[in-house]
Amino acid sequence: MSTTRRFWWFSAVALILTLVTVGFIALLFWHQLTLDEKNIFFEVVKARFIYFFGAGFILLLGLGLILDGIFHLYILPIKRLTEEIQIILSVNPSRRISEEGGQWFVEVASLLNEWADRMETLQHDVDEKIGLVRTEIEEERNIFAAILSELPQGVMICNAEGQILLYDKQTRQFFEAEPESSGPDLSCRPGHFIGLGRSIFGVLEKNRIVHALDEIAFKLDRNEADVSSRFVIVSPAGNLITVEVVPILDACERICTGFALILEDITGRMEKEAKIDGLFQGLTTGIRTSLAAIRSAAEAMIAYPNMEKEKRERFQEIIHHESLTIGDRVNDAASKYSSRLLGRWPRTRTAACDFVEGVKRQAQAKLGIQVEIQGEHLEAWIELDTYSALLAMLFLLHRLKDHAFGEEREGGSGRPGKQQFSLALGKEDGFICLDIHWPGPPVSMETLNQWDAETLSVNNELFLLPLGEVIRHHDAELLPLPGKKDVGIAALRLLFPEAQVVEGKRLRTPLTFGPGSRPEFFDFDLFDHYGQDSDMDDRPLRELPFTVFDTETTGLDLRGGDEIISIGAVRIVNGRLLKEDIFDQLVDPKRSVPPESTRIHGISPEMLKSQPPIEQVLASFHLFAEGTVLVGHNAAFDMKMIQMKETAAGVRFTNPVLDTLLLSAAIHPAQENHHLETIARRLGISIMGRHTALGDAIVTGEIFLKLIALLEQTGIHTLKEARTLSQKTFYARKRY
Amino acid sequence: MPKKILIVDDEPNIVVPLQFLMEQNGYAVDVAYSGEEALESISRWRPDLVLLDIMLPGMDGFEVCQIMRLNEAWRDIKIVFLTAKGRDVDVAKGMVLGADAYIIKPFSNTEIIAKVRALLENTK
Repeated sequence: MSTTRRFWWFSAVALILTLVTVGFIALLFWHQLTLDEKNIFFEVVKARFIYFFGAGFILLLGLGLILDGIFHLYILPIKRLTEEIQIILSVNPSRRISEEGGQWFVEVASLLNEWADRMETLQHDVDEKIGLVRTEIEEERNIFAAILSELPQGVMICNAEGQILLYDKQTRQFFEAEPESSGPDLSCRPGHFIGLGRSIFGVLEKNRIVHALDEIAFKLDRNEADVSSRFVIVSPAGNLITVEVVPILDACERICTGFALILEDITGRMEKEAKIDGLFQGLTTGIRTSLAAIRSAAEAMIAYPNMEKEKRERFQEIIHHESLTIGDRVNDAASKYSSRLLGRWPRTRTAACDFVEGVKRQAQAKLGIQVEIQGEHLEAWIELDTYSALLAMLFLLHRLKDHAFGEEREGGSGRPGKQQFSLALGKEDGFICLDIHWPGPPVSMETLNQWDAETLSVNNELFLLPLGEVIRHHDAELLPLPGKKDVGIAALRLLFPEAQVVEGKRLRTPLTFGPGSRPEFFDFDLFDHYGQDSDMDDRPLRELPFTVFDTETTGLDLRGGDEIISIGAVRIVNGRLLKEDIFDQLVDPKRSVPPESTRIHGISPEMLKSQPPIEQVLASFHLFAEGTVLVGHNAAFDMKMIQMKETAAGVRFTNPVLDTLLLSAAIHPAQENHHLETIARRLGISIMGRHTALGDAIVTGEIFLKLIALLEQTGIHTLKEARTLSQKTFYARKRY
Repeated sequence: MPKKILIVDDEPNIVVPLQFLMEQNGYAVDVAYSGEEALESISRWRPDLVLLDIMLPGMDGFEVCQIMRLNEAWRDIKIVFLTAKGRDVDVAKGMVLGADAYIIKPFSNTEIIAKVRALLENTK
């Protein structure tokens, strides 16, 4: 340690100087003595040597002890003080200086700590105020991001270099959805990483985009009204996706500073259209064929009235048969058309029971009508536009109440106990029947038709369509039932088609927004980052994209056949740790996993059985880390592991590498311990999920972000400077 | 000697009245129910005109037409497409393949007789 060395050099020099001075004075003194005096002196020294020696020894010892005390009580603590103050100032304001050392030092330290307390409180207040303002902004951004991520279309925004600045969940699903046949894990498919700061050309063929941009430039030149360009791609999952490229222009000059991609999955629509088209074509062709036979036969019979009886009968038979065929064809087409292809209203699959429950509750709450649910629980689904369907039911109940009990009430002889409707669910011929029973007069067909034409309104709620229309939109039917006339019970029935199970329907996850939950899907600050291909060495650390990674292995013996069993990585783009942009992959090591190592990382051999081999994972990881700086804690070990597999995987990791262990040691040479946990604690980072590759990578990433701040304080800004520093530390640590 | 007409259609209910019509108008008629049968009849019987349906089992009408037009000996046989496929592209495709006329079902008997007569008279 250089401080120690420098101190001891200083001490030695001081000691030697003192000795020389004392020796010189002694020499002068010696020369001035007469011979007798010298003899007497000798005699005295010889006889009392122990006193002289003792005095000299104690003097030296005392001097040494004092020096040592000064060193440990003042010099070392002061050196540490500098480092600790730096930490407090830059990354962890809650850290306090340890009050160990000489008394004066302790006084200074406690004063400094008090000062740090005040600073922290002050900082806290300011932060709080800033936080309040920021929360509002964040909220708006969150809402924006959440809505964006739920748009049915995919949206992606790129700068002129094709770097992704924004994308949404849809887009990610389009490109990462996996055909069932391929590998066990998503991340193991080369070529399909979407992430902030990544190149769009990783997922979309470059020529397509370039062509589209050329087309746009041409249109811009000619001042055309429509400047977008469209093309169709096939996603990895085999879906047809239209891509619309829209330029983003600089406000002053009409220069393209980036472009937006709007992606839409048209597979479903195309299928539906193809079905309708097929249905139509089949229908027209079929009808034409039959009509041709009918017409030809009929015209022949008209033109040759005297044809033989046999021929005539044959022709009549043809006409009859073909007209029946036309009838069948029309019926067939009509049934296919209505049941499968018309989902005009957005309808939600709803459990029939839930719907009935809803009707019961709302009838009570809004109309004060008691509804009783009868019959057994029915496991059936119907497709409803729930709001209008509910309103239709309430409207019906309202009308029925007036119809059945209205006069009684007016007559003042209302019997509230009897004013009760009952609802019953049933299933018949693929239809769900919702029967309404009530004690009272039945409803005539005429009345029903009247209600059919009335606009839906219940109290103040209005739906601007008549009841009949709403019922038709649900492909439902309303009809009176015979009821039980003998006991005065009347009934109505609503028939709903039973919902079919639709596979592959898009499931909607809830929108979530709140502090810290902002999806890491956009970062417009990247707009200004040009030239990502330029040499990374001279660029500031803050601007660079990083892949922070960690591996878990079967053991620590690099050459002895220990293998990687897990790689975890997370990206840092523009100073933000992107926890959604991760690589997390277990690896089949093709060898046994020692139980001792399982105890550390918790990965059992069973978990690795169906995992891809290292060659495949490494190729994928290579792609994930493309164009970024690799960061790891004690990265030398992981890099060695990786490099040993490079040839097999057919890739080479040429990325620059930074090591948080070395950087930490360079910044805080006085701290002895640079374990991941210790550094994290020192920098005020909470640890969770340690000893999974991904968990460790995330902790390392957070440490690295703080280290960047610390490095900047010591004047280290660019990648090159950071690399030089860690190299120095590397040799320094090797030597001592 | 009467002119010879080959009717190619897999739908017997169309073939029957058509055959009757053509015979009443003094033509000799042969019938084929598939593309292969049609080619066999053409080489054996050599008709002057073929009424050709497009949708046939196996080899379709377009293919029969193409084969006929590639064969030098059959060049002057008239081809009339008779089909329920009414899309414009189908008509265009038929004409490009070398058909002489394209009649969309349902047709009127007068129309088809007129067309057949016109085509056969031109050859004289």
